Amino acid sequence: MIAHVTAAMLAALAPAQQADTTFAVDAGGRLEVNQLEGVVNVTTWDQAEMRVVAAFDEDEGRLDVGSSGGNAQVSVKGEWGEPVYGELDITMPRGMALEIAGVSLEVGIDGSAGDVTVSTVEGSIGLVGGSGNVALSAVEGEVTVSRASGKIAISAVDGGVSVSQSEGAIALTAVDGDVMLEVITSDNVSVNVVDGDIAYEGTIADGGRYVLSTHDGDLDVLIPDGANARISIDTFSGELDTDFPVELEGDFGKKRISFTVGTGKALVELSAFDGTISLRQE
Amino acid sequence: MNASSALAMSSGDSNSAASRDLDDVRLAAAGDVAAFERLYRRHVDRVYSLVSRMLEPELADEVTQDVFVRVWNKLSTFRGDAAFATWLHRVTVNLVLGRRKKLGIQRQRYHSDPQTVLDRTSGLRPKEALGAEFEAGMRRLPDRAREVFILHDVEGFKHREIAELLGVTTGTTKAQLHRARMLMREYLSR
Amino acid sequence: MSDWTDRLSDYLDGEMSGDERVSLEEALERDAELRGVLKDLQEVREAAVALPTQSPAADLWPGIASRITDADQPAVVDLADAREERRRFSFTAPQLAAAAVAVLVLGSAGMWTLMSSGAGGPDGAGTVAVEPVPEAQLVSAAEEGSSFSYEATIQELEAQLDIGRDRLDPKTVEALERSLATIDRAIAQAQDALDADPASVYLNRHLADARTRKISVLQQAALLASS
Repeated sequence: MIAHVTAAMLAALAPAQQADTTFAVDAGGRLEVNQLEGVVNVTTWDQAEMRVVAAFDEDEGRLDVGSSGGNAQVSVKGEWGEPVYGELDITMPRGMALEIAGVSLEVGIDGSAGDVTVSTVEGSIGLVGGSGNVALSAVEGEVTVSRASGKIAISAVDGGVSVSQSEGAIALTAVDGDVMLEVITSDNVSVNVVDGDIAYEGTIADGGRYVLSTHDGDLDVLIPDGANARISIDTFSGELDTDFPVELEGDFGKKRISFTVGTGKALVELSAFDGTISLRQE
Repeated sequence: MNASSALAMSSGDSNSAASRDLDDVRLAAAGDVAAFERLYRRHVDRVYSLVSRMLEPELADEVTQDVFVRVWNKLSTFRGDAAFATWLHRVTVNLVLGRRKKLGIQRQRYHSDPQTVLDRTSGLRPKEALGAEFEAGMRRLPDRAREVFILHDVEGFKHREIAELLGVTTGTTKAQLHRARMLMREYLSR
Repeated sequence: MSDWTDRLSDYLDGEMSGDERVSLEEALERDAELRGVLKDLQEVREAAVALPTQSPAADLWPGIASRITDADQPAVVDLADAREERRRFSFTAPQLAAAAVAVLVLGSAGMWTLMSSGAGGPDGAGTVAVEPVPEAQLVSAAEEGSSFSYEATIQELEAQLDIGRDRLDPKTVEALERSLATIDRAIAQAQDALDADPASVYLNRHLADARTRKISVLQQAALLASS
């Protein structure tokens, strides 16, 4: 059952442009935020309750918060339930799962230790934390992630992506925008970009697989000291640049070559249709 | 076991398999694409295995296709005095060796410091279940040792046949085979 | 190690004369280390003989057939088509839109599954990512019989986008069109490259990836236009 608290609260808040409410939630549950337009900022604390501070135009909308089962819902809506612009500052239990969906929405999340799913059309996504399943999707806007762990899936269309200090399997696609991966601990990384550079600095773990591909852009990969990798390079009109000696195998005339570093236990597949593939060694 | 017997055994009943092959070869040589497809389906795995072990896996699809296109173009030269499987195998080996030679020339052009590589790649590998490890070990063998090892131990060619294919003496192929086995032993026991 | 070590392979393969064989067998009786090496080499040989045959990940026959049946054409290795054939979609535009909706509302675990199903990824040879389509809706042409080709799928999605274009924010339309133009450029460049080098596995894969990406972005756009 959804227990709306808005009616009574909104009556009191009617002339105000800001609402501030705190209510008990299941710390192991899920927060769902459906906010078509606006800004959503989420921070966390170690309490089994949620605080929502919302700013909106009182002539157009109201803050709607509710809970059912272990789930909590937050959004700013119009009188008939239609979506309305709103700015939400939410403080939630650290381990609570979080799901945010919007169209023209800026999203910032700091300190989550649970699953995080965010999709926006226009607007950037910034995430610090996130653990378990992390899935972020933006059509127009930057995506920035740090200190996430688990399975990290990111889809961007028009905007760059940055992931740093994160751990786990990473699957990332982008159309227009650069992708930067720094201080990554992973044995499974897949990045596919149409128009943009890719930079990777992180582990190359034995048995791991790292597939980085761009159509029009440069690829820069740091091979850690002691890495064991079989590295294959595909390009059409690009170049390979390494700062260490390699023994090339394959048909360079067809722009496909490979070589082995150490015992070759990891698989590194790099491709740049038109761009320079740079390999650097620590 | 020689190459022809290895291939015949891989096809199950050798007589009926060879007979089916001959029928399809005659049809295919007359332009019957469906017959050639049947030949392809019966033999593709064996060809693909040899190609992917002798060359880099990334090239295996492409070169396997090249093998069958070449076979199609040469069907009229198949006289039938050996099993089709043996002939196909020989065509495959020749094409693969040709490709390796070409790659070797290109590879030399891009060798920056082979000794450095050897030092870097003298890997330690724990003895684990064979299979993927074994395949990985073969890939790390020096070129000539790898060729001889695959042709002799995996594919069942005799030293005389290998020497002929590679244009070297049987003394060389024996030495390379032993070298390969010792390296594989070292690789797998680490 | 014994001087006989270098002869152990010949011994194993029956390539030794009788006298040499006797001498080596005497050495083997005396030398446990030599026996150990022989045993190891025997195991290596046996493992090599027992290696299983391998099969190509994609059916190579279509590419071969096209090369042998059209002598006028350059050698075409149609691996991309072969892969596409195996993954051909058989769903309608509304289903595509529904699938796109699923991406927006899908839990992250599901999204991971979609994003990692294919692309170079985590699956060996397969590199055709079909990102925003739930796997349950991927039905092979052979299984379903009524399938859409890539071009038909694109046209249907573009038509749906046209119908709902006015509902989208002009900035969003602009961003989507810019991205679709980027992908189209990539597809055209990959196609040109492939025309020049039809046997390239990389270029076939790259073209397939770019086409798949176009479907993915169009699905998102069609969803937004219809919502």
